[in-house]
Amino acid sequence: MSNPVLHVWPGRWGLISLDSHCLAAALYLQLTIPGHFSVAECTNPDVSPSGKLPFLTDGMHSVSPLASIIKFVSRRRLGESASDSGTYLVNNLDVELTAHERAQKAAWCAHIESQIGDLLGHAMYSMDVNWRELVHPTLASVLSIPQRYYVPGRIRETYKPRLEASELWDVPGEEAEEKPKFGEKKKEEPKEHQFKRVFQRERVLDKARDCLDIYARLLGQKRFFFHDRPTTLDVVLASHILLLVNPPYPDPLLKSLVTDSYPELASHARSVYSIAFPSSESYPALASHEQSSLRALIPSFKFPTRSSIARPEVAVEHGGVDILTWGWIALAAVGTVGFWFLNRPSRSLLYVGPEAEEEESEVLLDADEDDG
Amino acid sequence: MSTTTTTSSFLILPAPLRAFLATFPLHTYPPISARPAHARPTQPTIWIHPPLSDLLSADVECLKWQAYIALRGVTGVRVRGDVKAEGGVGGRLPSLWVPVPLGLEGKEGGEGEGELLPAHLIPAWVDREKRMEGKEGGELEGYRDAEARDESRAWVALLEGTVHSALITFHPTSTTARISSIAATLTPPPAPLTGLASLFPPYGAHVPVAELELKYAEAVGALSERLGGDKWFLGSESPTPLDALAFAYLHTILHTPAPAGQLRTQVTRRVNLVAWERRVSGAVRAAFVKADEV
Repeated sequence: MSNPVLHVWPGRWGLISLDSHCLAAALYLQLTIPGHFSVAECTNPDVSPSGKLPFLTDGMHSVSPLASIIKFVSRRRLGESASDSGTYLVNNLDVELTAHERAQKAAWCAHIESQIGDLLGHAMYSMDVNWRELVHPTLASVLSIPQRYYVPGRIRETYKPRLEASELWDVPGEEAEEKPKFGEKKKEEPKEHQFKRVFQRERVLDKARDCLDIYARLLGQKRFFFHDRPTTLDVVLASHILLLVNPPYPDPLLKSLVTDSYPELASHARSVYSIAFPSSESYPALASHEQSSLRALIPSFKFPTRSSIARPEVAVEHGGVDILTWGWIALAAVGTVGFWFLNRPSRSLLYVGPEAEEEESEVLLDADEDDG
Repeated sequence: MSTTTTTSSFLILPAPLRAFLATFPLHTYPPISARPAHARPTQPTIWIHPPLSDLLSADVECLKWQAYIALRGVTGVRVRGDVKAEGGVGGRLPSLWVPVPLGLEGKEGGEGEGELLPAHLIPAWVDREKRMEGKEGGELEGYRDAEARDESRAWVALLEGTVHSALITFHPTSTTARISSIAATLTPPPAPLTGLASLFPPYGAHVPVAELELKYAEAVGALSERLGGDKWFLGSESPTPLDALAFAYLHTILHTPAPAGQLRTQVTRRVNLVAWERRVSGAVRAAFVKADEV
């Protein structure tokens, strides 16, 4: 029985992956089935069933994203002993939680993914200087040519609607202004822009404080949120906090807030990570992930839902290329091919052998003589 | 002026063309007269997306505020469902017409002027109404303690994230789905249908349906478990904003017509949620009266 393979974005900044959900999946698997899975660094999310990383492959099964992976691993029996119910239970980090605690855990995880996920999205994709000098170059460095030229921008664009709805998009950073060219006088920033910038940063900080205060109070002096061992809640929070505090952000607005004002949350996250991976040797085995950058250029066109097709407003948000445009292009292509087929030239290529050539030349000579 | 006159005298339309143009305009609508001041409602009136059957809006956002008003104990609020979203403040519904302005943003409140409030000012208006009655909500917003207030934030995120995503994905023709965007609701955001790495421009949203179903079932189970046999969520003695939000989602899921009905089944399997929704539904309906539609 082969071990499952977890496909994640490559690791950076001292972490096993540069994405919060990939990091959470790796932590969860390492805490539940250490040594029984391997990790494959993947840079093409299109091969995942959900179009996003992480995804887990186990024989013929392929599951994604995080919630489905956790469910799959929790119900998977290790080894050959299918009747070993003890092993079955060990795969679930939340097995010791009561029904009441499990209900609370579901709510807290949703809160982390939406609220702290937005803060993380803001730090990585919205703050211009962080994007320009850290996140974009990092993503470009892990991608192959030609994807490195357009995939980072597309990833950033997917976060835009969500962050705009949360009022966390387009907040200028401290060093966002461009350097003046040689001999060019530096333009003075209008006062109203300065005020706007300061107030926007304050608003982000207020939002972050409101959210992080809750977790600081919830954790209190405890090592973990429930009982004495990490649960899914600890893993999900740690994966988000680690990506806020570990990368060397050029504009460390939220990183400084967490490390200075909420050191207990930072140490909780590091504690969860060090329990899962006490040293770099404890990282799971690396599996190879065969991927061709040229194959990735052709979309796989997964049509998983009726809803995703039936939602016109989503299509409008993405550059105005709607289904009718694609239909028109397809129709034009079919029309061109059809026209060529119906009106193709009557010439055809024939192989003419040497004997036939001679015969043909004789016939041509006879014809010339007749004409003459 | 003289130039115009001279020019016009040179340009004489041919008779057939003149006859053709004389037929326009084809129809002239009568002028719309502004409503007289005395026709302004004297009672607070909430503008909502049209209800499915009676007084409660088919849109979760509108229903949430209706439930909030009702559960805070304000009664006699009129309901209008004939106003388009563009007519609301900021192009959104709900909006609340109040006969006495709140007096925020430097405006002086005066009798007879009235003011149209956006949704986020509804709590301030309710607070004023309750202050007049001598009842005020404290810092705990009606929750038992600070811990319960913190926990309420998590349940709000669960409802507005997981349950909302499921609602707009599985009921794509509902009012809520028409005015919501899945790309702005899901975290992490969905990948484009055409993929991230392909040469094709990004199009559509690849919604992870299986995961949404899984998380939705877990969310409804968690809600049922947390409510238990309590009168209100989180063991509060009186209704809280979380109760208003939970009611809005449960009512919408239970009463929105859907061919498949996966969402409804998850709720109907939990007896306590169905009974709670039915009880709160009666209380919310009682707070509203139908306005005469203009």
